[in-house]
Amino acid sequence: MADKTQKWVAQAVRGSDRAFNRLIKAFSPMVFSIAVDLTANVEDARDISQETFFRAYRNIGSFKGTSRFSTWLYRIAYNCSIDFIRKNRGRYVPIDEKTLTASHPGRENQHTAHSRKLEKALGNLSEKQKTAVVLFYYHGLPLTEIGEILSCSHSTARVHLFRGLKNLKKYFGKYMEG
Amino acid sequence: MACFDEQTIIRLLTGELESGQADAVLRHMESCSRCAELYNRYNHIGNMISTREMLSPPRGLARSIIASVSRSKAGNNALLPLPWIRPAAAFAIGAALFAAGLHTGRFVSRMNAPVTRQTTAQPSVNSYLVNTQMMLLEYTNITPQQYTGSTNDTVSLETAMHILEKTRVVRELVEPDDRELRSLLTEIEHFMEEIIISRQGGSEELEGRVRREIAEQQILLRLGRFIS
Repeated sequence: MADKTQKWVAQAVRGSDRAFNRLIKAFSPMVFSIAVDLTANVEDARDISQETFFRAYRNIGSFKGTSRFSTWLYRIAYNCSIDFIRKNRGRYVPIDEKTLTASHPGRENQHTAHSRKLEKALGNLSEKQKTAVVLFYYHGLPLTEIGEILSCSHSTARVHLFRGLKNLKKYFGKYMEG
Repeated sequence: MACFDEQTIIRLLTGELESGQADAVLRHMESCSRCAELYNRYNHIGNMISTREMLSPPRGLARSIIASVSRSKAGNNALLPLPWIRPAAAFAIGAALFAAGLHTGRFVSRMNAPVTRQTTAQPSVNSYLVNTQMMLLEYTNITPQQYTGSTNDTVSLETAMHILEKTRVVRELVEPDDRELRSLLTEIEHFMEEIIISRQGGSEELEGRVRREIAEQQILLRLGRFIS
């Protein structure tokens, strides 16, 4: 996969639309996942995914290969999501559980009370904490890469991760006690 | 032995401790229930996140992104590439408009009729829905009774593109609470993109699938519910 990505990136930098389309196919699920985690809204995440690839397409020529392509792309996705949230802060209402099940018929059984609690707990974290925690545990990215995505150092990324974990522990502690 | 701080325990979990230090913490936890419990709690949180259920990407996400990026490319290509061409083009357009104005003026004075100013009106939700329904009816050959499965090439690429653009505009007009209609619009947008891709790529197989899916998802029936 890494070899193929490198090949497609090199071709896309040289102007190959076909190669760029392959990159879209390979990376759109992860880009969507970053956006939906931050916005908790499928429609918005879809728009953000499109915007991310627009920006990537416009700037692919400036991609120097000093970081991995995925890191570069996820950084764009993160920034697009944050821009979107700031722009829509007034009207922004994260999707609720009813909507989640309505837009995904058949989800009712899958989506347990347990995972609802987890989503609620993650929703209480700051954007950076949440992204650090999810990228680290769910996507298995190393802290150096998370730092690049969040535009901060490796040690600052660690601080976001630690604070996120502590806040989650606090939340679940309350939940268990209450 | 004194207890370790929370950060050290988290660093053990994130694999950031040197092996010697990691061994020391692990040995300590064998005899310290407090640190062991803290470790277990963080470990449990990490496990919950790593195995959490994520919303799967909407069907056809990559396709819709490819279609959007293609459209933006087409838009970029339509821009005049060289700065020196712009004044020349502006002059040519200005001259053409002037000539058209003269011609219209003469025509209007001859006809002695009032000039009606044309505006590009925003579509109303209802008129958009009616147009989309007609276009999809034509495209799929769906009779009120059943889907015939036969192909119909009368719907042009331009019509699909036009509907796609309008879908985006209409989505902005629809109340955010009207989730059913918004969700239907997203599906329509997706189908328009698939129609465009299949038309551009000349893929009959894909086009056949798009038609079947429009029928299976009862898009026309659902559209009808919102038309007043």
